[in-house]
Amino acid sequence: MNSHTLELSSGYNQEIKGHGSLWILACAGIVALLMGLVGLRLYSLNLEYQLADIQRQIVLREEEQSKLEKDLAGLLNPSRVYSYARSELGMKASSSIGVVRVAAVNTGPPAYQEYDRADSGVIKKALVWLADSVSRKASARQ
Amino acid sequence: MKDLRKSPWLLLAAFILVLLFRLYSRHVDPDPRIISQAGSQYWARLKVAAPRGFIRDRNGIALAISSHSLSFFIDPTLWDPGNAPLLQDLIPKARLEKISTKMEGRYYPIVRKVDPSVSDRIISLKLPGLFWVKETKRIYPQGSTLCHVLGFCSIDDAGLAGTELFWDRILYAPPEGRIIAKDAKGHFVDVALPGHTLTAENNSLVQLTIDSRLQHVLEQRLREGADRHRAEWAAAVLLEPSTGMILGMASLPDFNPNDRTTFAVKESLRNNVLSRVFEPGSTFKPIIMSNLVDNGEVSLGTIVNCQGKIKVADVTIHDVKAHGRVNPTSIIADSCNVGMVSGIKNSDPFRTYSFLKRCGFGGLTGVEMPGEESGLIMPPSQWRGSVPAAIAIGQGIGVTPLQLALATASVANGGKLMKPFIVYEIRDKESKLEYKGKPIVLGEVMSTHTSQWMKEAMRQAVEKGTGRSADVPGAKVAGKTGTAQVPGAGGYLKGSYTPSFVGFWPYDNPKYLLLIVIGNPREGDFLGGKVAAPIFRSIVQDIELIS
Repeated sequence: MNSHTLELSSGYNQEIKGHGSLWILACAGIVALLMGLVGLRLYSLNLEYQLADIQRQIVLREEEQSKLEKDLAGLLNPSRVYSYARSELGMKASSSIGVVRVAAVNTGPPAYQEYDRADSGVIKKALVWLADSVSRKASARQ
Repeated sequence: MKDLRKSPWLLLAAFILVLLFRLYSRHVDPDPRIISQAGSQYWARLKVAAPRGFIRDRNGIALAISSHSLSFFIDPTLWDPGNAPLLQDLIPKARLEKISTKMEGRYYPIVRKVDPSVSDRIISLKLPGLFWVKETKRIYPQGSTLCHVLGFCSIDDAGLAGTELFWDRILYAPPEGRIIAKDAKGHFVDVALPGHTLTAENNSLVQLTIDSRLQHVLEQRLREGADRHRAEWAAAVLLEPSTGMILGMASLPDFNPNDRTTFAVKESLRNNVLSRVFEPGSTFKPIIMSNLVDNGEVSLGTIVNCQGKIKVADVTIHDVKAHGRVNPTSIIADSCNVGMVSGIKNSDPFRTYSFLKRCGFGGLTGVEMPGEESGLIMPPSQWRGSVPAAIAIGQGIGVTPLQLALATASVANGGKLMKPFIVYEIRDKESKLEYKGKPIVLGEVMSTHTSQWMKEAMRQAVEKGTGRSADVPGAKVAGKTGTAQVPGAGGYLKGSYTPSFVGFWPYDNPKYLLLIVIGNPREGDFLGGKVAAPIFRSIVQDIELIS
């Protein structure tokens, strides 16, 4: 009876030992999983901080852009340009300004129009076809 | 079995199971109180102020922009009144006095939307209980240039006048809400919704047809002229007669939209080009004469003998001098009152009234700006006695400078009345095209033939008539002078005049039309040919130099 009990207890102990290893493994797995999750969380937190930094930079750049826009508008101000030209560069408008209008000289129609008029249709059609095919290829490439 | 129950592993397993269950229940199906508590720790609701949109000129130069600025407030529970003297010269006096004493509450604003130079100085003091918030401030980089057209905004960025008011629905963008994530220390980490940034975007744009350079010329020369004659007010409008596109608009007195103290003078807020109703005087003659010629009520060969005065009903209308025998062309060139009165004497008042209405008098022009006046024109049933004669010489009728400029533009462009426009294009906050200004013909008010003849007559007025001082060699200016008396209670005011000059150039193919009106000059001359015409000439010279 005793030996049977002993036998039983040693077998049972072995079984318990086997289960214990499984439990340890399971626990280790869970801990590893949790640590992985923590790691991922930390990684995502780091990314979030980077994103926040970029967002802050965007805000700063936008502020800088509006300041530059303001400065540019101030520099392009015609009143400033005018007073600068007068006071700093010593420029002065003449008191008697006249306007000289140069009439357009009629030198006949441009060369391409002459060419256009000269062709009787065949050359024109060929050119149109060529231009169309080139533009089709160009648009196909795009 | 008994040993198994006593095994420590079972206890550990049970503990882990409970832990897992609690973890599961907390994460997957948490209690609402937990959700709210966690939310307040990690999320925050933030109000982000969106800047107002841009106003630019036709060349893209910024005329109104929004810039970031800081507003400061104190928390009285954390504020030490002994620190108040440190803010001297940085905040308004009344606020300084207030924060020098013990106060109740948690919030007291001390200064809003200050310039970076001031805000940097306030921040550098590092005073406990002093806090600040970011806001946007409306800035007009060109100062008082084009102030009446641009208008201004309230401290809260709502449009109150001019383009700012008229296009407020486009330019104004309400503050936007953002939910942000924060860390354990309360620092900003991220914007909750993907695709959103910490700033609110507003790409809305109002692009005007105004050319800043021409506007500068207009304002500078008008100011010089108005100052020279100590004028009460002045107005100038420059437009393209063929399209009705407004290129420049100036009004005096003016104000600086960046400086609110200049708003105190109410008269300076009025845009005289749109809101000032005045009797035009002789600059009105080309309009009336065009109608008389177009209707056949006056033929181009008609000769009138001007003896310097003419009696109409109970009134005698005088001329500067006796012009002798005059025809319609010389009536315009010499600005002959007797000739005009003789011409309108037998005309049909209903016909003339209808023509004036078609020319846009007595109604709004429809320009994209607020505060426009419609002018005053009596119904023809009341045109009795000397009224038609007075209207023929530009008295007894109230017009705005813009109405007069547009009616004269119809002479310059072949007889078409154009709808004026000052907006080139409007884009909403997503940069989508919302509106585009384009030339609109409101009607044909005179024949091309009459228009052509009147252009020649107005050229004569500048070449050898009353408008000689407006002539610029080579520019081929055509125009008409005007010197109107100013009506007051019980008659015309003594010594009060409104000299004006309206002209266009080159007269054979007009590119520009310019009207100058000087209100009540108190020094020097008072005649249109002596006061307004030289200003016109200086502007034409400057424009020809830069265009």
